[in-house]
Amino acid sequence: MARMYPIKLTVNGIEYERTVEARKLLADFLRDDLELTGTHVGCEHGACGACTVIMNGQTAQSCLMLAVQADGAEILTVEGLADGAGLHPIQQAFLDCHALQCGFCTPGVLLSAHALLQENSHPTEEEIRQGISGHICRCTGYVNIVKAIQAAAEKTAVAPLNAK
Amino acid sequence: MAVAETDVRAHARWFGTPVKRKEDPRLLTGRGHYVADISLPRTVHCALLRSPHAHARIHRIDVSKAQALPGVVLTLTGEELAQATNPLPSVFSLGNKPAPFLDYPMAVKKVRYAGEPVAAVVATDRYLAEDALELIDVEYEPLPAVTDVEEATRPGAPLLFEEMGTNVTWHGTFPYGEVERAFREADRIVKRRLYFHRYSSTPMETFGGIASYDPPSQLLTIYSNLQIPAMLHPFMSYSLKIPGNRLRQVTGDIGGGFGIKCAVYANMIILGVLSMRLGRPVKWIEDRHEHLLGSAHGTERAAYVEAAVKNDGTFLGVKIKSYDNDGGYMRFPEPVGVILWSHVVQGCYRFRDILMDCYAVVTNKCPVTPNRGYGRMQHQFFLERMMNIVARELGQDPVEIRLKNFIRPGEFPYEATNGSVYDSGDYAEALKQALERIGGYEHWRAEQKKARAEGRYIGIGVATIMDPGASNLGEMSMIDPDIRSSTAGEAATIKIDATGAVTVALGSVPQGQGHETTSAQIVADELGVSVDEVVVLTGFDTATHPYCGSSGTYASRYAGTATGALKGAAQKLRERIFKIAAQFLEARQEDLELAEGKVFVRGAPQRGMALRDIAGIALYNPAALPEGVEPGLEATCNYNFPLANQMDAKFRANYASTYANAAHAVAIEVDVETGEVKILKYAVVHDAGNLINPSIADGQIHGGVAHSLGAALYEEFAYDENGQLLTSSFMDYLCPKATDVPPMSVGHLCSPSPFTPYGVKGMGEGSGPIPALLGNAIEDALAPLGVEVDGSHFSPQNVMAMIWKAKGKRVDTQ
Ligand code: FES
Ligand code: FES
Repeated sequence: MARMYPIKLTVNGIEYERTVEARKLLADFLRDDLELTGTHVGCEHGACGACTVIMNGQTAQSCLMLAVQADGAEILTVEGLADGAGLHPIQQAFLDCHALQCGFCTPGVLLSAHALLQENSHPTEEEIRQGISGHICRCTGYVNIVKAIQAAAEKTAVAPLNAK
Repeated sequence: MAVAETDVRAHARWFGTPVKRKEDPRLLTGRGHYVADISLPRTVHCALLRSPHAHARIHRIDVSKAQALPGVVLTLTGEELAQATNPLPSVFSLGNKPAPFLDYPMAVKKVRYAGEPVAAVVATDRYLAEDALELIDVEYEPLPAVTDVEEATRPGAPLLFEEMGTNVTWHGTFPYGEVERAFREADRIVKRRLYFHRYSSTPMETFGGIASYDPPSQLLTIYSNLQIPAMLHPFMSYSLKIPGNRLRQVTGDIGGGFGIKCAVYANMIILGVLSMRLGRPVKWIEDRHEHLLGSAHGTERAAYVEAAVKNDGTFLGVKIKSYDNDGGYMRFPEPVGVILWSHVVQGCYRFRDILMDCYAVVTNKCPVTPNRGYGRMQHQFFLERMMNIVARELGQDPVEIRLKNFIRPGEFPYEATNGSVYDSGDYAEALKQALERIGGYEHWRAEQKKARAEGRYIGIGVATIMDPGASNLGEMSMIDPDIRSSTAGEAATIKIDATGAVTVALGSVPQGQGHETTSAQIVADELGVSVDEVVVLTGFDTATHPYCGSSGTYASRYAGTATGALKGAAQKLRERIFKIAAQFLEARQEDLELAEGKVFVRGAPQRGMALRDIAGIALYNPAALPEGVEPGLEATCNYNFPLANQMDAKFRANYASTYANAAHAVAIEVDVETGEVKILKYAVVHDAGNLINPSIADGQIHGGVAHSLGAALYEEFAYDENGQLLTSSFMDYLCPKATDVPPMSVGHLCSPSPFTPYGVKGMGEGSGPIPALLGNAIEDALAPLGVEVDGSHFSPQNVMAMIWKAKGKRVDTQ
């Protein structure tokens, strides 16, 4: 039996204590151990952004990290983006602008958009495109994703984002 | 000719409006139902060992060390799989012909492409299963590989299937019109060899599935992201040696398909066998490397194209000899891809004398499968390039030559030379509007002139293409006339329960196209309820959803088929509701109307009954129903497109159901130092008739442009001469990012189909026009250097190679 390591981390405001194998990817830990299947795996080599989460306030690719490296971290996944049952303003903007089709890339893109708007509440189109350039979306051609992030920026300029 | 009602119903409230998608709340909050998200009790995990060689004999596979690893529960070699299953049925079996070779989902005795599965391991977790793969010892005898499609046809080429004696697995010739006369009467015959490269739309979700066998009921349930589970149901049941009613297939949310996920089924046979052996669920999720290397690719085609033209630019006819590089095996629906350009044999043009001379060839590359624009984009690449090449030879303008050759608006419905019935369109207007949207043709010609004076290279490109929808599987007869089929259909069931609530199930298998939303729009209008109240079941299930022979989601078929099924089922319910209400309201059926969840006398809404009350009577008081009215409020329609016919003795049939079209226009600048192509302005004008949901339609166009643009500029499955894939990660196989896709101006024309309910046409594939579009633009930009484009991939290296070639320099792109 492979050696197991205890880890303690906070995901979407809930503290978890688990033991994991050293080699377990953070993405697999979130999906399999915590059953947070909103974090998707599109490439497992850091090239598509589908597995993006926010860790200690920064975006991180959960396929490029081991769960043990997240010991002590505070993580936000797509499941924690909205307060309660409604949608977060960015999620709402994606819905309003038809910024998703198959939805597979969407959780990761939402989190990058969230991080981008936290840092820069009025990004230009160029800055938005740069800000999500770590993501591959095969469905939308990014047209409506860019629109949605612009729309979210306009809305959130009035009601500032909930810092999470 | 059957002409359906084209008008959107006058009282349509939801049809044609940008209703927000019903799918989105779950997908936006991380609560989608993708196959990897399913976890069943007692699940074990599968990993596949793949061949490092492109072509090799397998002398021995030793799994003993893998079996001994704690946590491993089962191993299976290709040979063992072959003993447990029937071979994968081939298209030829549909005409009761023997397959040219036996095909199993894992290699038996020989591997034929790098990445082909040779053994499977099942373990208690995926990490362990992958550990065990490393313990399997395979003794290979490498063989010379052949990767080039034309080389593979030459005598002496390495043979993939020695028993066939050739790598050409199928060849067919189809003459239409009077080809020889056209070539005799031509002022000029223009010949080129053109090449369309290999890529795929690489959905963000890889292939995956869970097979779960229940020994007491002998029921095998396969949850997967296969996009044609119904169509392949009999194939899979044959391979697995179980009756169709013991095989249940379920799909949920699918993370993109684009055709490539037609190929998922071969892997599901492996999982099915493993699960039947173990009596427990077996899960396999492909990783990205496996996907790029060994899932399935889009078709690569080399063609010799000859155009017979008049000096005024009129095309009289074309002859095309095409060689499809189909990779290591010919899996369903191959070799159909080879002839699928029958949907668009004339493109948007009037020439009718055409010779199709088509070869399907196996090589030591990954097998191919449908991919967005399947079989048609290659052909339209050839036609659109030839339009420009001929224009240049004749000193004509590429826009003018198209206008001269277009089918005219007054000629619709237009029966093409091979029997395809183009429904409607205004191709010239689409082109005109596309050019306006990039800022005007004259404007860019002036800019080009200015730029040239400064030593810069601006080019203008146009491509005008057909974007057909809903294949008529009558096309299978082109492969073998003994295959008789004419299915271009879909099935839908609508149920109104005792609470008055409406539930819809379809045979379609959406992968992001929003069928829950568009179907709800149609049903809401037909039954007079709110779109929010209609529930359309997610995904597909052979056990509970209706389906027909061609069900599934591929070939832009929803609009041309599912709308008919939805309308048909709704009409049956409307009729029943009106009959019941007429009796209870003492009114005439023709005076009744459905709206706001009620049936009432037109003009007197107080004389009405709620749907709930009608359902109550239909369900609980059948004795009170008018004579001949069936109890319950549930109806199914199995719809077939009315013009879907069988192929005749002259190889003629209506090969698609709807014939949308599009004009793309672009202005680019080419950097002749780096080979970089920069898009300055991009526009597309698309005509899919009446749109069910305009924002979904726009989204499909955006995605189609991005795919095709990626193909033209970045994406390529490049192999070395030994058959090793050089682009097997997203670091080398480059998909366009947000910074690569230019802003695009999208316009719509609206030429309704006279043959579909609501005048809709299929759309979504987009028919991949950008390789032709950019090819035309690059050639235009680099005209002063004398560059001619003969390929479809414009990486900086390729562009530089073209420039050097034109300048007479030695070309070395390695
Ligand atoms: S799955 Fe992590 S970047 Fe692609
Ligand atoms: S919505 Fe499908 S990959 Fe982005």
